[in-house]
Amino acid sequence: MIELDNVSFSYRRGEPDVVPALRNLDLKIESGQLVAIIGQNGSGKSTLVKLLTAVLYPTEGEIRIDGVPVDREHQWDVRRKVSVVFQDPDDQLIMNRVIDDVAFGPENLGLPRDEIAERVHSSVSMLGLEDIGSRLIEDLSSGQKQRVAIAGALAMSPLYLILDEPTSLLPVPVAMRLISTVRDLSLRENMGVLHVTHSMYEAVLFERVVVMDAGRVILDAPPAEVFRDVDKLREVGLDVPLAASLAHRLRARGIPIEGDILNTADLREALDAALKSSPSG
Amino acid sequence: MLELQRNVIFGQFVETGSVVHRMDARVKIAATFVLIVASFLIDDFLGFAVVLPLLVAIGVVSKIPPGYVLRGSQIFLAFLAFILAFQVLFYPADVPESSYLWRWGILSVSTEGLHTAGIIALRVILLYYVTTMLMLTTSLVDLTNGLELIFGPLQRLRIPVNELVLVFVIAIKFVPIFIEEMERLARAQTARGLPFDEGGAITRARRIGRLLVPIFISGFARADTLTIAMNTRSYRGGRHRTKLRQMRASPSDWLALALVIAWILVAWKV
Repeated sequence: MIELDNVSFSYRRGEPDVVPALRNLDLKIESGQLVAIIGQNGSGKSTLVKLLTAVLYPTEGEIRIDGVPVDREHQWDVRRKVSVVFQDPDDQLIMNRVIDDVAFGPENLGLPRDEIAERVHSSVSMLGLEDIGSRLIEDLSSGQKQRVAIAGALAMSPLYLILDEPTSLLPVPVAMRLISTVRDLSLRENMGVLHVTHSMYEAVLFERVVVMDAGRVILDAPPAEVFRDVDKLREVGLDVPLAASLAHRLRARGIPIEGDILNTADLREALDAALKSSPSG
Repeated sequence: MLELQRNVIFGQFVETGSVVHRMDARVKIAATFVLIVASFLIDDFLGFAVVLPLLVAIGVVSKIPPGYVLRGSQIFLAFLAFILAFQVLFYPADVPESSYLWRWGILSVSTEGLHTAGIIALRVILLYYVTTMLMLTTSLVDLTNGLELIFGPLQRLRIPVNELVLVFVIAIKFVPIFIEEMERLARAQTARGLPFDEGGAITRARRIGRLLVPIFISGFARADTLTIAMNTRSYRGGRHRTKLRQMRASPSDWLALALVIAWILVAWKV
């Protein structure tokens, strides 16, 4: 379990009148949970990612990852439990051949050769990269590169996988496929996933959505519940999926749209039901 | 357009699965080193003429298309020609009067000047060719592992060999990424009406110069992210690391190295 206990973080420690990047954050994430974190630029999402990977340490409060405190002393223990995939694969892939890069992490752990080979093999096949294992990374598409980055993260056998906007540079269908792959892996390996994203359509696919604004958590619930709160999301500059927004407006006009509307299929069903129940329809 | 990606191959790796690619990286690095030393030792045209078939042979065996190498070396060759022109024109004046072919003030063309420039050109081209071939035929991991093993003994002198090798490897890795970025910036500028393929050499150079500041800024940003990424992937210096791949030099690898050494000795002594 990831536990954040009253965590605050300020990039300019000790200076007065500086708005901290994170303010009194309390958050618990169970192992194996699929969580999407959404928020505007500057809401503190990226700072949170850096804290969870022991790149930064909390100014106040405490973070524990499966009991291991996030501090300088335990940074390497934390990084064995948490793997992260960043926005731009060119910034995080070190070696130039797919399998060599996937092996980079396990090599750093000082594992025996057989185990490195096994981990590389299994994470490469989990991401469906068997056929391009010996290809050069620079020749791959951006979606494939991001898959390599994820394979590299999985080869560390993490308890939690953090995705820091890895889909923002990808075409939408590629991004959606990638997210569903990650979701399947999480279920199979009982690995917790924290997906930081701008995309509401991706957030909908997670069991829990945490909405951040100005260093605070303002909403934390299953997607259906979060996206019902259209006004609050708009207030902090976030959008809602088109279907949810339409449902919201229809409801405002007195049309009885029942249930949770997250996508067009939901909306179509609800509209059918509303038409049938209406006396004039 | 600039088309830097096609015109700069330094630091690239091209997989053709050839014998050269499959050779042990340490042997390749050693052979490259021998050829680099040769470029300083050989000081006449005959010597370079003897080396030439060896270089051609390496090129042919590596299966890397010669056109690719030539096109990718255009900028380098243009730069070299530019430098050599100066070398010839400003050659120190203590040459016998009879060897001047042309003279105007401090500028001159003399047979000595041409000869020296020719030797320098061949030296630089040899250096460039062997290092480029090494990188074209050796993947980064092999290069890293090879360099680490060769320079490993220096670790005892408290020289951080593993870290230095990684710095070198990352530098090579970033060459194509920076080139891509530069092209992107150039395209963005072109779209705003600043052409990079018009005007004289100086105008063009000045325009490319304008890309340097943004390139540096993005370079620092990338370096920062890369450091974080490496840390989160548990990189804590070379001594904790183990390796997936093992290096094995076959007898034919050693034979190839012996051949290169013998060839260079012949070229040096003729």
